[in-house]
Amino acid sequence: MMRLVVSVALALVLGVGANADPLPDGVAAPGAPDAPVQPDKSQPPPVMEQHDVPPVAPPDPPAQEAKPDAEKPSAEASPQAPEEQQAPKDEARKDEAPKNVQPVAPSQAFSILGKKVHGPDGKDAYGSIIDVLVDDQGQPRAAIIDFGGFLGVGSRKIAVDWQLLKFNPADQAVPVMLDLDRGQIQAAPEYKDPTQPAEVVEPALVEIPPVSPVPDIVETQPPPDTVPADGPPLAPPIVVPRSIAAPAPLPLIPPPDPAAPPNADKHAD
Amino acid sequence: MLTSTRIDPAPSEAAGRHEETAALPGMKPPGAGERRAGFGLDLLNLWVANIQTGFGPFVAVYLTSRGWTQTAIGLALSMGTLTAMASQLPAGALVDAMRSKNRIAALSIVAFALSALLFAVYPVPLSVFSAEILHGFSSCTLGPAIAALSLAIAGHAGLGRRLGRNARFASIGNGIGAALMGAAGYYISERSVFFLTAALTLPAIFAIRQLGHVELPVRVRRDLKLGQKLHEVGLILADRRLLIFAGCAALFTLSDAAMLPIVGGALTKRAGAEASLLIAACIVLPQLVVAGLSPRMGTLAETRGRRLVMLVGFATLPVRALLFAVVTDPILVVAVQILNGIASAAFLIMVPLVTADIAGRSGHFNLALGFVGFTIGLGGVSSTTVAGWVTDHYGEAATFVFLAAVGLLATAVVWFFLPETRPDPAEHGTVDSRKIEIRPKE
Repeated sequence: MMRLVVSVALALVLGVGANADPLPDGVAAPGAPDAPVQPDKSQPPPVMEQHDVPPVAPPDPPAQEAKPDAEKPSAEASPQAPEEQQAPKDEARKDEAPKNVQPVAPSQAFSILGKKVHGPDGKDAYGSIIDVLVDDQGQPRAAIIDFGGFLGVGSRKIAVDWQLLKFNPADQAVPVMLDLDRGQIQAAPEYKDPTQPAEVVEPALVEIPPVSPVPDIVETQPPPDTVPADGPPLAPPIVVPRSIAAPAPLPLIPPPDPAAPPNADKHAD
Repeated sequence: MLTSTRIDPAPSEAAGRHEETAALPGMKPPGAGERRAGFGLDLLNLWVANIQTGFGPFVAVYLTSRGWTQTAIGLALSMGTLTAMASQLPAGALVDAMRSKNRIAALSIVAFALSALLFAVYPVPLSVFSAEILHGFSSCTLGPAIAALSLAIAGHAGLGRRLGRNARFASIGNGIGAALMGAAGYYISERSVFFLTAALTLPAIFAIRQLGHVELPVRVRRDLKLGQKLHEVGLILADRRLLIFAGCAALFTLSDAAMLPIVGGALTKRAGAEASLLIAACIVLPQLVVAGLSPRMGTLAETRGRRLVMLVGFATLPVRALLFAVVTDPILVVAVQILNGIASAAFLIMVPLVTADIAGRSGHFNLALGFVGFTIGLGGVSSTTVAGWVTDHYGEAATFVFLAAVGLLATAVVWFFLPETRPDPAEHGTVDSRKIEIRPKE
């Protein structure tokens, strides 16, 4: 029984490994003949147009690069292979790929799911991005960040506004920085259920937001030395100023009364 | 002096002896073979616990680092949980059916290694799901197999002390595993944790080789028809003591399982960068307590009875939960985890011990253990779900009060309903004097 399970698992691994190979072939294959074949319907598919592609990379180099790659396998594999059989396949593939494929280098755009998020100093590793919330335009609104914990125990998820993130695709060590300090992260409400409204930590507006309950506290609060120099001053959610402000007045209040006897001794000396 | 190489402990001789040395029933001068087998069991428990550390919650961290979405991770984890739940009873029956308990243990560990390699080498859904299923099933065979090995090697009379040692070495392994895996995950990569896990199965298999061939002597005849076997199984599973104990175990886990995650989350919220360190302390400190305490608890279970040890362990649950509801200082929170150690030590020993009392040599020990494991799984799964719901609606303190109430209920059930299952030392033969007699239906 166990043997069976084990061998099935082995077969799965091998099968998966074998299946993984065709993927690169499929990418490299298209584009051998240049002439684009018109689809059967005279109507050109609007999706294929490159209206939205930003001028990040010119469209020419990819075509040149793709050509040698595509020619190689056909030349090596079967020089005398019947062309009639290959031709329809190539045409079919060519429809999908060559015109609307843009190579985007990792230094231009990169995968962010699972990437580490660092603090504004670039040293303190907070956690990783595990999800992104987008609005009805598809624009990212907030990132869900999972931080803390040990071996997966006791971690917390929070939602932070997309504006608070700074991305640096070229830097592998610190690809994402978050403009919040640790206290602000800890005070952020937990993100729990995708179906419930997410409490997103927002960056501050330039004008002081009309948050009624706590303006006094914000004023008495010590100057925010934790705010990074380049960023705008942050108005963290209402929870944060209270927790920060609460300990602040304390040092002013307790006078050194209990230490009076030692002082008296010193005076005596 | 008993024969030195025989592993079968010959319970009647052992019981005859323990009337003279009343302090430690079943104690007998161990021979070289037994000593070696005992040493092998120590190491086996250590390495197996070590291996187990990497699976569990860390899988989510690893898959996140590989760019997996939360939905896919949730699917993979629940596949593992479902497999573990569904295979408890069949896996127990399988271990019962296999004569060589060390072979099934070794196969389970090989399956662990494969599962870890599947995670590490090729984290695509198909292989991750396979790994979760493989691990879910093999963890259901490994636990019962180790319990059966312990029962076979130590004998029923010495099982309490043996399980105490098991718990000690398992917790040491857990601690070492947490340190090793934590360091590997932090300094090298999340992926390296699974390679490390696979590598650590090698010493575990070496430890099994130390044991030699081990069979669990059972009183059941193997030439029974299927109907008669099923009738026997029914008798075991319908045993009132087993049902009550399984219920207690489920309540224990229902109260216990959600505490550490909630406390960890609270520490992450309250403490700063050192929160991870504090959570690590919350995990490791109970292991230290178990390592120090469990042999004594195992002996106590033999001399004073199972009920006492269970009551001590279970009673810490409501206390711990209430303390968590009140205490906020991180250091004190870690200190409260000492109670977790006491509870774990009692629980780790009692589950196989009480099950062995009830079903020891019926030939269905592992099936009964699988049944208890199933109810424990039910408790564990519902614990985090229910606790999460209570936290969302009523807050964290209310959750701890709820968990304390469940723990109190579990303690009360043990107190009022669970009979002492320890074989009566006054009677001869610890195993054969069991009150339930399993006879094939004529």
